[in-house]
Amino acid sequence: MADVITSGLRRSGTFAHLVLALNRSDVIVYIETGRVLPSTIVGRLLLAAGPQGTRYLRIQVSGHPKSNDMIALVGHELRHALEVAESPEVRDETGLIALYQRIGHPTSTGAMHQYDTLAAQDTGRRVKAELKG
Amino acid sequence: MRVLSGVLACALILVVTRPANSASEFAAMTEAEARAVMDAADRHVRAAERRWPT
Repeated sequence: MADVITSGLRRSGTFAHLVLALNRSDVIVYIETGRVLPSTIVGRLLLAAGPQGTRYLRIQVSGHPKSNDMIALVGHELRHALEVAESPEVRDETGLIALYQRIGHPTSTGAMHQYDTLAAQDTGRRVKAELKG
Repeated sequence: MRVLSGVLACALILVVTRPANSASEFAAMTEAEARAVMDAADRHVRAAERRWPT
């Protein structure tokens, strides 16, 4: 995963911008490849309980680790991480759900509490386009 | 690290669609800059090289 992030930083300005913006936030993001993901999900963001003052996010992604799609997928999820970082009221599951009920839209799977945002979708597209040069 | 195995919240599903404009308003990093970001002790985006319990 470190190679994925490094490659994103080197090849995509949008990706690099997201990482730098998160570095300036109170959010710590861990990214892992998640073979544990349900088959219908390629990426997700989870909020974990943390010590006072710092918020911890966990991104799980699945896919080929060396592909452009993986970097774009991580970029998409980093955009979600930034959405949380920019929303200081989000400190627990209730706050996270409220945020995405406000700024997101339910996904087409119809599953409970699964959301996406146009901004994250656009970010994924931008990163992928930048990777292609 | 233990905190990360705690409360799970909601899942966000990605929809990967076709690429759009390739122009970026932000600059990508050089190899050295990317390494510096990845090696910084206080970095906020971190690779988890092992699978967390769910």
